Amino acid sequence: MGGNLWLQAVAVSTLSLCLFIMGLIFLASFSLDGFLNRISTGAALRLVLPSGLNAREGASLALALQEWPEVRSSRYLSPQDGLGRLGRRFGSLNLLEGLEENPLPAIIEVELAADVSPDAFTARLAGLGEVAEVVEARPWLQRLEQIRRLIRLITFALSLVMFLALALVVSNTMRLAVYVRREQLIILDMLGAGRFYMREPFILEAILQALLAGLFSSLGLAALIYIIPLLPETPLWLSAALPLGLPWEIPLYLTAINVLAGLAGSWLGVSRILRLPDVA
Amino acid sequence: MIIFDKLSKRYHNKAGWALTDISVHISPGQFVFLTGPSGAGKSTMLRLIYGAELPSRGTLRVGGADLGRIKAGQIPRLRRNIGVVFQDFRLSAGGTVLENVALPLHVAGMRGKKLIAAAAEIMRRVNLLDKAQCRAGSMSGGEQQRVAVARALATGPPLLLADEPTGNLDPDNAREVMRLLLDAHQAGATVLVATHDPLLLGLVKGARCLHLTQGRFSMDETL
Repeated sequence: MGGNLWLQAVAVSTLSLCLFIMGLIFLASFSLDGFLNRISTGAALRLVLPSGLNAREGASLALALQEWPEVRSSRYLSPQDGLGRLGRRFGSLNLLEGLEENPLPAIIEVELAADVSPDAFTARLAGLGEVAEVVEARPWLQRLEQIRRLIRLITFALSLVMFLALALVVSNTMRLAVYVRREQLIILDMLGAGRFYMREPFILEAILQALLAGLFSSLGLAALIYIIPLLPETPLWLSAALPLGLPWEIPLYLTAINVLAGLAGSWLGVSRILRLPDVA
Repeated sequence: MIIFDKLSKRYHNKAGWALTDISVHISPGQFVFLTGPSGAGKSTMLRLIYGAELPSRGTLRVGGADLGRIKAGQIPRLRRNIGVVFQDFRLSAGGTVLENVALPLHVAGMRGKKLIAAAAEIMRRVNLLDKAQCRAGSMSGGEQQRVAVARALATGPPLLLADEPTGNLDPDNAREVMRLLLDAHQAGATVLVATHDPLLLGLVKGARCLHLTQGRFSMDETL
């Protein structure tokens, strides 16, 4: 680090800020991905049962459907089960508070065997007359999948931009650091030091900066996740968007990306300056 | 050891030739003075030898390496076999005497106690052992030049180049620096000293003197 502590402090702060922004992008992506996962699990065909059908009849219908060759699996879900599942999925939002009556119908969730057309299955089902409505999940699942892909693409593009920004910050910091130690580098060059020998301290410095910035930005994100929901007037959408804890992948990704950007930036920054004017 | 063969050098940003058709053979173990007025080409010859400049025309061989065709990656190895002393010392002013003297040993790959012992031995030879922890930048000119000579001698290079090494020194310190260069020569090193100080020539009996005028040799004699 030498005597240019201010330079290092500014560099680490800038990198931490960039990583924090990158972390927010990751966090948003993780949260949306998780949300989409939660609402899409188990979805296939949902057979809404008439209100007159009791739990025993519903369960035996599910068992009967299980025997059909078109069906891979079927599962009866009572209105209470449905409400319980909803509570588990959106527990943090307290959506079900104050609900006097369970508005959900009993359903049977059916997963079809491969190559079975939902239309053919629905036609056969119509003959039974015990199903009020068939809700097919595939079209909206496909739309969710498209949204998920779009989110991942946007995350990747933004990450790439941030990566370049990080590399640029490190590169410029290294150029300044090299300039500060220019006299020393000229002496080393004269003494026959190889390029790697001269680069080594700058590369180590970039890695150290990357680790520190990774740590600071992760602490910032963790603080954001834990503190924001505790604030009295936090908007509902913000609480919903934040995960319950900082996913372990995010600090790891941020640090790894920053170390890579640090290596690239320091290599580039030092290379430009190591084309030293001749020693004398 | 060093062969200049019809070598000419022209700098990109300057008109005229710094050196013109220089041909000379310097054998291992010689003590050579390069003399001549300022701008005669003395420093250019030294810079060519340690690879800071490339020949414009002709051939230069140093220890078997053709410096006109040398790859950039091979220059550090060449320089590790050459000790260089400058008029303005070129020390790490913020570093201690020990750090400055140990630097070429560290560059050469030496580490730990062996490094400290080798640096201490060199400092003892130049009478600087008691100042090992002094900042180089706070020392007198004579002492700084002794540190520079110690640094140049640290790895025991077979070739020692000195560009006006006594230019900033009083006569007593100049004699001391010349004594150190002579010691290195007696230990087997080839020494080239660029100077325009005629008093130095009398300090080394049997030395070779190459006189340069406007980039050409005008005299080659043994003192």
